[in-house]
Amino acid sequence: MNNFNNIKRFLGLVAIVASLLVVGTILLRMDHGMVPKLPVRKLPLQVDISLQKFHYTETKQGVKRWDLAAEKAEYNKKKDLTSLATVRLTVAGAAKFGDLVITADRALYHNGTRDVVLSGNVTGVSSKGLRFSASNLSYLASRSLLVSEERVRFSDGGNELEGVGMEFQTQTRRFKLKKDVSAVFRQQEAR
Amino acid sequence: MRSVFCQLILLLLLVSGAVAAPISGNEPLKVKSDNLTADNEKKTATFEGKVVAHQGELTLYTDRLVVSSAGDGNELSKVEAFGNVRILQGIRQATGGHAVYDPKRGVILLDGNPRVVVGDDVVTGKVITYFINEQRSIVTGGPKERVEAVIHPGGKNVGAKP
Repeated sequence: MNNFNNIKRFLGLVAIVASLLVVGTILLRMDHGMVPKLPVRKLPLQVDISLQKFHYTETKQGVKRWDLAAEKAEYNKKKDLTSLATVRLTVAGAAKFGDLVITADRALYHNGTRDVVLSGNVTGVSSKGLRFSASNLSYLASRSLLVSEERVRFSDGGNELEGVGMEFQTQTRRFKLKKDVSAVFRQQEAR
Repeated sequence: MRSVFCQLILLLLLVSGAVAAPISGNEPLKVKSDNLTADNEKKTATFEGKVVAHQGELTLYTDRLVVSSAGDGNELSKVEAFGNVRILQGIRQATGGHAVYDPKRGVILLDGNPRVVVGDDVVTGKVITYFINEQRSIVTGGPKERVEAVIHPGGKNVGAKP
């Protein structure tokens, strides 16, 4: 009788150990093997949202004012700033002037003011053929103004202009070069 | 009579030489200044502050230079200088308060007490007009500004070519 009780206790112990092993194995597998790894890379510090193929259009009373596109955008909520890479800013001008397309390697978009600070190989081309280039350029949205404190080079047909510091009014296409100006005009026949 | 004739010849050489071979041909017009304002609608570029313009052998200094173009292209239609205009070509110098160059007509008009100096020789009037293609100049007097010429016959500049 005593032996029978010992066998029952032993089998009960084996059953408990086996149950614990099964539960342990399941938990271990769930912890390491069953949960898939996230495919998204960690965001850089101070970046809250990262977007690919960013596209933003600003309109006023149903009329497009400007259009900002980038290959990549990273939003920093704390600074309310969006860092953009491979940027294309299209500023709509008056009907007779057409659009002005500005490309750059990088840009910072200030969400509050809606200003855009472009840097790295900044190049602008108007629909009338006016071209300009600079290392840095800012678009002040409220004044429809492009400004730069750097050297800016213009070309229009065979004519060339350059100077340090620029203010370019995108609606009227009037611009100022602030200092150290040089220009070359080549006489051309009317088209 | 011969003396008067010689003086007229000298006057002609002096004036035409002073502004000869100016903004002509297909030479590019090169401009330097402190600042620039460009108006795409008016098709003007206004250079201000220590303006220096070169074309060929000609150099122009002024306070303000307005370059105008016409049509859809970049054809220069007018170049106008305002304030302390000084045009140099070799030893010749023309000065005035205002100058206008019309590339289509090939004419430079200098006014605002225009004065042409070659060495010691001086010609003044109300307006000096130079026709580039003909290399011909007209010095015009006014009610208050008569044409005046101070010529030094036999001087080292006699017969100086443009």
